Amino acid sequence: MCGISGIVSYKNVSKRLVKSLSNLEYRGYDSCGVAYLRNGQIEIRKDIGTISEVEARERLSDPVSCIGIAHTRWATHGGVTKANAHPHLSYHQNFVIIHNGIISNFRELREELSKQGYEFKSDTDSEIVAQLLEYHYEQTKDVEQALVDTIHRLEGSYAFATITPYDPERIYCTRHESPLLIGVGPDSQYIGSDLNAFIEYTKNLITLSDGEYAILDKDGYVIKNAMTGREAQREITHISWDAEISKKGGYPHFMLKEIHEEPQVVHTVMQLESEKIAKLAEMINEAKRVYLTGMGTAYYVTVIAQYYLAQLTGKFYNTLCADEFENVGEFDEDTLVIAVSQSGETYDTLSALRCAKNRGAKTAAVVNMLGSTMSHDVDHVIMQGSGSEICVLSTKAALAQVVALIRTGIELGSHFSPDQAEEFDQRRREILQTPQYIQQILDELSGIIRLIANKIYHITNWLFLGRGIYYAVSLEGALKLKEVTYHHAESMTGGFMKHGTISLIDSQMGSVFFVPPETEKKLHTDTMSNVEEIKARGGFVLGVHSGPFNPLFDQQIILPDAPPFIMPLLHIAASHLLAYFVAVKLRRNIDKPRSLAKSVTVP
Amino acid sequence: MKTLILAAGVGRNLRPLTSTRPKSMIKLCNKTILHHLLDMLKEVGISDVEIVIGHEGRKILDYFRYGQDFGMDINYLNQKEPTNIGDAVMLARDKFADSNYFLLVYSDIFIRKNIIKNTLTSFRSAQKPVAAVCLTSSTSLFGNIYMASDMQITRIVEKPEKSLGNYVLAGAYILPTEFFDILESENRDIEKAYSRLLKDKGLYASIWEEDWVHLGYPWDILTANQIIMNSWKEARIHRSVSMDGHVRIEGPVRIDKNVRIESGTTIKGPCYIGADSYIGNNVLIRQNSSIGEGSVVGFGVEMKNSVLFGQNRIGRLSFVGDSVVGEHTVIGSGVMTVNTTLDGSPIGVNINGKEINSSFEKLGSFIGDRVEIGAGNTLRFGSIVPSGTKIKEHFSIS
Repeated sequence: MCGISGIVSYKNVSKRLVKSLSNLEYRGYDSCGVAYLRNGQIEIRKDIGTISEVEARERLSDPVSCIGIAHTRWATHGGVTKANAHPHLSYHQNFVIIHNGIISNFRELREELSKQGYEFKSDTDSEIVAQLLEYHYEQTKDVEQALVDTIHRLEGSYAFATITPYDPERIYCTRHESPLLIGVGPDSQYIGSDLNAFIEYTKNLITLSDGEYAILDKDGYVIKNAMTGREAQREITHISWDAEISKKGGYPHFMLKEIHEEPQVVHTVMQLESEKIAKLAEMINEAKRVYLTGMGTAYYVTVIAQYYLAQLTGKFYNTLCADEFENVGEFDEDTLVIAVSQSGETYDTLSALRCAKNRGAKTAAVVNMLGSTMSHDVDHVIMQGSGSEICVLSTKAALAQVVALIRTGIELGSHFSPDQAEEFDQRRREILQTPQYIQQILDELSGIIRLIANKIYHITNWLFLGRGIYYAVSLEGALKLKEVTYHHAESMTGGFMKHGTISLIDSQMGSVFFVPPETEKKLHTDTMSNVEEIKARGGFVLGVHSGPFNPLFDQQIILPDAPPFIMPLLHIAASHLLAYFVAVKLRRNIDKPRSLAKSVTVP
Repeated sequence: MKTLILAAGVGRNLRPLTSTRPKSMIKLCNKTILHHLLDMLKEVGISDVEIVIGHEGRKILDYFRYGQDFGMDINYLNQKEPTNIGDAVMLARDKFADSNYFLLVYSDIFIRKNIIKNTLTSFRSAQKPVAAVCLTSSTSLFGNIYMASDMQITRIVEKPEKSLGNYVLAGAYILPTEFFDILESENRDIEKAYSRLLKDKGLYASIWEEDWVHLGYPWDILTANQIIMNSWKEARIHRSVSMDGHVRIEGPVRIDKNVRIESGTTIKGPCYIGADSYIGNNVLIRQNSSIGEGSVVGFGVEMKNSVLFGQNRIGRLSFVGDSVVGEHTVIGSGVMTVNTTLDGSPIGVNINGKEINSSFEKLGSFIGDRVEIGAGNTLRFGSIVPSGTKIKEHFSIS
């Protein structure tokens, strides 16, 4: 929910720190702040607002200092106020902290320290960390020991970092169930919630594990286990991503940039090592029970994949929202849970994986972010390699995830039916054509979709409808529209619509139909009769289909005539553009819609 | 950055409104299109510009002179024959010889927000040649582009027969000075030169997502006018304006100095009334009407979505709707600009002998400068009245 960043260096860090903060802004953007150590004094600058607003007002990057920490907040505990913005100071102003996550026992701790005379300035759960550090330092007169003692007192999920005049050239940090990465540079060391924090400065990265803490100075770092006190040896991962990749270039929004990267990421997924895919297929094959899970868009990715898997293997695989795992899931040693997550830090999905793991189940994941918790917590991971996705809405990463799971389905299908090898080869070739078809949509349909968006933006209630796999596509299409336009959109199967929801249809209600190609005869006919039913009741219908022009629709997006197997992927790309252009017309905050955060790292 | 503005075009398809002025000197709410553009350049710190003038170029020179009043340094390049854009660009070759890149801007586009700023930002991040691109509904009039995800333009299809949904070239470029050599080697064909440039040196797109109008046809003036007015939030009425009681003003209405409005008149914003105008009794001025300075609007006139260039007289009980009226034009009493067909089909306009579908369901007349229309006339939807025309009064009984 929040982004944290820190730098300790031979040179001034303030400009780099604020830059790094803006690269994390998509993680949270209701308030932000920085803390530096200067001449043995802590200097804090913080306020509510976006980073550029606060920078203009408070001049976050003005102080000259070789050590600093920074935070961008998305409020969970305590309102959006200057007092609640991070960094937080301890009572005697000797420790300053930034924190991401939730300290679940903060009320008890707060009560305890209040009795000791500690006063609290904010309503946040985070402030307790600073107070505890100071409290334990008073007892031990040792910063490292104070950190370890503090870690032992905290419950919940957290990643935090602190700087203190008692040890003015080091950053202390730790994590438990919240992300924290270390960036290793030649004359500077970095911390960050994800690698966007420092990818412009170093491509050498270390992931901290739960329960570990790190001490960084300008020359290097030490990582220790908080329980045993033993030093941990960790390998440095070298990232090949270019910093350029997380810049907008000539695009007005990251969302549009990332939609335009969809052909590229599909191509990348097709190039992933076959062994990785085969391993996942093998795990599915060996398991008696398989769950596909995720949250938000990633969950809908699993639903789309469920249809593809059924088509390719003839078998049914469960999908379940990650947050419902504990309520209905059934797990044992023969269960496999496959999680999908862009960030690899999604709290609910991580919990589901832990819950399954505790009962002996095997786990696998399709993840985009390198070094994320999920990527090293599961038994098998497929790193989709889609490059950083800055827009809070997932577009390219979601499409790539679908393709990764289709590849797995093809692998599995070929295993089940070796006699149909030729057909599976054909499917593979069709997937390879997907990038060029999506490119055609981006090149030749952008203007048409924008024109339609400009005509329909005033409709605030939508049904997104489809049948078969196109129902799964409509789930994703509706979510994208909701997230970015703040208009209401709900999705259901064409058949289900008649059982109740149809009473909503009038001229004020819009419907988007994802129409299967005519080659899928029954699905197509049934979908078109649903269109008729809505038209008969005066509803407005936008059809997404692959032609020919049909006067029954009030508006239509006619997609290129691609092989039926990959058609759903083209529908997804078109629905992304539709949501984007409606949001442009409505002048929404596209890359950072209200109330959303890139990776939801709290329950 | 050295900047070249192209303002020499004849604007054939915009006649009669361009017969007496260059396109860029069309005034919208008291400010010429070129003035809007120079403001944008100033905002990004560009004060040194070369303007290619040709058709009615004197009018540009007289208005802006050498930029002294605008805080700019303006020089002129005279394109003596209205040949083509390539020749116009070539005029700046020697002037720009000592710089690496230059900014090229077409002056027949109207954009309210700063497209120059956007294009420069893209250039700074790419450090490669950049072209502003945008989406529009009629792509068959422009260069349609195909691009890769890094925004490198891979192909330009000029004026395709069928209108697609591509991004189109939006009329602002940052080009290397080698472009002059390329242009020369492509026989000064600017479209071919762009295509060569993207193959040899690369050309990157910079997406422009705000409103954008290319002034190609007379009705585009109405669209540009709407873009300006739709951005207004509040009314601004000069304190020297005098109004009788019972004048009703709704929404963002802007009225310049020394305007007099008689009682019974209703003005529904957004609307603009230029300085020294007189609005008679019981006049109804509806949304998106712009009345140029020094005009007189008689009793009981109704106006909607129209642009009057200024110094106009509109006689009593006339209707001016979805129309553009040139300077010093006089419309007699009881004149009707019919602006819709019975069946509501889109209106076609005869542009230089060719019927062009405007795609507007409501469209009035396009009347040049110094036209006199006698009382009682009815003007067909989509009619064009050349400058200087005199139309006699129309009597039912004579």
